[in-house]
Amino acid sequence: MGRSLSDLLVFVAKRLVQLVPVLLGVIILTFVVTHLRLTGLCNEWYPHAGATTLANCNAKYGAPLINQFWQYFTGLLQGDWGQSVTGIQVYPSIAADLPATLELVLASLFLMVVIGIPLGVIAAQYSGRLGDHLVRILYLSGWATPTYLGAVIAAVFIGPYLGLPTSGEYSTTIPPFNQYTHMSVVDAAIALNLPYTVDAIDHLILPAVVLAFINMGIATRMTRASMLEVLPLDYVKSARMKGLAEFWVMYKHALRNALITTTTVLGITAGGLLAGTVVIEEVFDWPGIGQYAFTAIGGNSSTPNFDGAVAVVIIFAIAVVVANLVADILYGLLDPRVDWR
Amino acid sequence: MATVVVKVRTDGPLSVFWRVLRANPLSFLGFLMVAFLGLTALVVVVAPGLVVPYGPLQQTAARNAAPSQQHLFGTDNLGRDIFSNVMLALPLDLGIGFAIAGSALLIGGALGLLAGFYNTPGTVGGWVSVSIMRVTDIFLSFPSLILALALTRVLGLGVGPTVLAITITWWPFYVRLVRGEVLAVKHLPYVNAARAAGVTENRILLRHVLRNVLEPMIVYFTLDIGTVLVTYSTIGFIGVASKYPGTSPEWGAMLAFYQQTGSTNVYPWLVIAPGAAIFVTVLAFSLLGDGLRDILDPRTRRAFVRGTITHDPPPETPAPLPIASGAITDSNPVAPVNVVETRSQT
Repeated sequence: MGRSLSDLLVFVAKRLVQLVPVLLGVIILTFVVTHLRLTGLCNEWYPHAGATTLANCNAKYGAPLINQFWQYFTGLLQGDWGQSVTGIQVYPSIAADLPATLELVLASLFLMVVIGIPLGVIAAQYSGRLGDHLVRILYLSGWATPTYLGAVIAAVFIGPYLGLPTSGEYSTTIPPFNQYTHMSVVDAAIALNLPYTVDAIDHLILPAVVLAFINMGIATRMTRASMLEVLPLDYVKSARMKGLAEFWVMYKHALRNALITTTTVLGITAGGLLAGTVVIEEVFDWPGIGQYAFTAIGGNSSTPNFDGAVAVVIIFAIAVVVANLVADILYGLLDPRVDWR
Repeated sequence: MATVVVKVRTDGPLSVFWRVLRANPLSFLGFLMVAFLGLTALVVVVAPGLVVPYGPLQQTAARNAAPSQQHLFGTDNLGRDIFSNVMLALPLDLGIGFAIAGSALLIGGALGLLAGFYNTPGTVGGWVSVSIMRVTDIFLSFPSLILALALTRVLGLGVGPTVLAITITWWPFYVRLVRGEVLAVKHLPYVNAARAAGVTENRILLRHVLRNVLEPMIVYFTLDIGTVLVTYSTIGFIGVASKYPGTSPEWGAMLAFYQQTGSTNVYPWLVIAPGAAIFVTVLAFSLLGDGLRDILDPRTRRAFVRGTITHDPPPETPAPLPIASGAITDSNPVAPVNVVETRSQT
């Protein structure tokens, strides 16, 4: 059984190496499917563009696919992600937007963990009875709520009712200050300004809660399933028999083993959380990569941006791959049965 | 002379539905809701006059009217009846859900059967199997919504291109599901017995293996219709799929239109009606599918079996499971993802 430090390095390195062909595949696939229909692509994307813009666009996307790909790929390796039809570089915009999205996603993930997992424990505890049914209705309601519906209801009805802000990262009354990380709460905390921090957290609450509510089902469901697997085991029975309070039996003994499987949630929900940001950031005017995607791809958008759309698809896929990698490594660390060699 | 009557219970792929519906009240509720929605959609298509009081674009005298007996869900600023538009969207949205999930089931299912069954390394089948799985893995790295969104803009705006775009991103999930099931089933004794009896490989695949992986496929399909609907209406909301107002309204586009143009805090029914419609529809499929999915997960399946067989004395060792097929047995007991396939929400 290899569980030494050198084995761990091999374990992680192996997964990093496996990442390379997947990332290459992601780039190729994105490029091919988005460039499949070359004729009329410029008219489809830029129906209101002028003659010169269209001519430039057609010249760019008229070349043979393989040449285009080579040009795109070599550019990508040098950090050139293309530019919008109005000439704005894609990479700087995305790099500036990424931290805000990361902040939103991490906040949602935190809520999913602290609310979703205990709900799963309750459901397993009352399996087949009222508590189980109530939890199931709750997480299926989240599952059945399209992101836009949850976002619109929160922004139009719940936010004003609770007095929570529904737009942007900070109130407009707050003057601009140094943004080191581009994460609203972190920056306010770095500035050591308590009112700013509170304001930033207030702005984060609604979008993060909506995103968490919609994606929580997977965490709850998986915790419930793992708990049901663990509860009949002998060690749980003996914990109960030695007179331990039910709370500690559940949360200290049973949940501890059940949680190992729940780490895979990280990988599974990554796609859902990221896709959710597209609509949530647009509705809540959150300056992240989701809003960038909405403006780049959206059908009602006045500034569609083909290169930006392709870049966003690749970035989101890379994020999912990385989240799965983190989940995989975390699982290997937590489960002592996994051999690292 | 005593006659012994031997009752052979045939376990069709659908019989599992009834067992779950009996055991789980929420699944039963979901089933009733799905049946009701399906029947209503049928009526809307066959005899719209019965349930759709006004045309989709018909401008009535009542403008911005609150819900009333004449206008169940109120009207918008031009007097268009919201209830009629919500009802007219039902068959379209349901049809889209079935079309996309169905196509994905057929394409992904077929590829998954091939990849799982003919996977001997070194043969042509082995190469095909590996290629299918590599392409599938790459597709699965994309959040479906994002890839579908980008695709709709390449394929063209409208219902048809959107359905095609979502289908392109949707099938890989079924490949992974079906391949896993096939791998679990293909080494079971009855397959070996069929092989020993001289049954050809193709026939084993279609008659013996396929039949026993159908159950998880159908269960997953049920849950998937809801997810497809959410994705489609989200693309509608972003403004790529359907145009509203129009002759074929769609819930997502409808909600987006009123959220952008109407005063939703003064006339809340404009967004609540289409929003509630999609919520109820997806919830119906989720309630049905989520209960069914319990029997796919070996961990919850045990609890499910314990819960249903209450008249028997509790068995010391896990009794032969009443659900014969679909055992998800991972060859590696500590593989990271030993859980039932879950598609993340969009």
